[in-house]
Amino acid sequence: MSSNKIVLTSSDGESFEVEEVVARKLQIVGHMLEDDCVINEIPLQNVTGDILSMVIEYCKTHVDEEESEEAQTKLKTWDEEFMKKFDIKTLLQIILAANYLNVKGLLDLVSQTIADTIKDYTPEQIREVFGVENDYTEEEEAEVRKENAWAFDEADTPKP
Amino acid sequence: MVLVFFGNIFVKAHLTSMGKRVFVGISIIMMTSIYAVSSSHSPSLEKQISNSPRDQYSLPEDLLVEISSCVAASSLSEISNLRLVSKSFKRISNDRYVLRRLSLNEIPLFPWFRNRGKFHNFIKRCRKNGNPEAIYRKGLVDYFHRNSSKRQRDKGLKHIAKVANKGNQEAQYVYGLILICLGGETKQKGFKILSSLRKPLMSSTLEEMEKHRKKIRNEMWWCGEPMMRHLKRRYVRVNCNCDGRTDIFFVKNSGWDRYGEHNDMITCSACEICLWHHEVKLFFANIEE
Repeated sequence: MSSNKIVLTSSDGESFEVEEVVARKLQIVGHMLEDDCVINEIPLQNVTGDILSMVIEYCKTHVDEEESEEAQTKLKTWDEEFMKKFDIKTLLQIILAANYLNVKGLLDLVSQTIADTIKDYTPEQIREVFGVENDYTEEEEAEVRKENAWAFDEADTPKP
Repeated sequence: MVLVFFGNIFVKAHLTSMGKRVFVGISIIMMTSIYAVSSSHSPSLEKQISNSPRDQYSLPEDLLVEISSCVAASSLSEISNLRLVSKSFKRISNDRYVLRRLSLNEIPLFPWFRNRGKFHNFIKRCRKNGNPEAIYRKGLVDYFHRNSSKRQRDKGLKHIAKVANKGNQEAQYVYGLILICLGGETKQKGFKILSSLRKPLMSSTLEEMEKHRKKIRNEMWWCGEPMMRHLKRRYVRVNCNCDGRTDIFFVKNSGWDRYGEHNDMITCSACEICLWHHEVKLFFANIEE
């Protein structure tokens, strides 16, 4: 049973043959399989091949999550190295994919990585990354700065 | 020169409301864009981001909440930066889940500055949304404060316990110490909680534990001294049959040798009773009985 293979196909037509246990890490696939039909090929509409291959790489590595501390540390190191490969744009694509495919572990990992990346950005840079417009008037923006200031007034200075 | 040129139109309209931000306002008029207000860019980051300006991925709000909560868990100043991005980002920063995960590490227990009302409201909002650090703070102040009633103290201890049970180390540290001071049935429970801190706080040096101790003592001293004295009086040392090896550890850790190789508490198998006796002494140091 465990050697059962499943083919995942991306939106741009790329196919990946993976073991069922790996495919089940994608909860969207897990749910389809539980619906009791025998499926060998699953089309995944909202994810491109290059992103899907990253998600599969993550799932393969996390397929048997051992309890032991040593294994956990090893996985954590792998996660860190894995995330270092991507720029912010790719991270955003991965988080969308992880959300759509419902891979909880990856979703948490990417959220944290994006958070760590954008925390040094200026508001303007964050707007660029997320495609958001600044919809504050100047008065409103000054007001937000003032609201923010209370916590730092005469207390610890914010990090540079 | 610019000031003179725009002076008539501009200063009249904005001087009263904007005060010293007149210069910022002028640049806005000149560039007819609010973007000019944004703070200075770090050139390397900008380059990185604007490589491909075409493909932007707008995320659904639940993912933005998830990311914002990770930022909030890191620090308040970082989430404040997100609030400046846009109205929707500001709204997200007030999401229940973000407030629950917000780290209050940078914020002192008692505000010595203006806007105290705002400060307390904010912390209260965090607490109502289940932020463990905010609940712990409330518990700590209620338990130790000289003006607290018996009922407030009991409730305060419950708050500390609740957060300690969730794994917050500082709460575990205080809760454990309080329990071993109070004695009776709770004493063993206190030792059990403190024992779980040995690994995370003392695996190589005692610095982490010192940090918790100093923080609590510094912030609580002025209002908590009577309660600390009460606990100190209640404390009774448990007898143990160890050979004094724990004392040797402390001697090693207190002097020049504190970063030496033999400080590992796990391998040195210190006696728990002596270990926490030592900590109780330090926690209540300079408190007259």
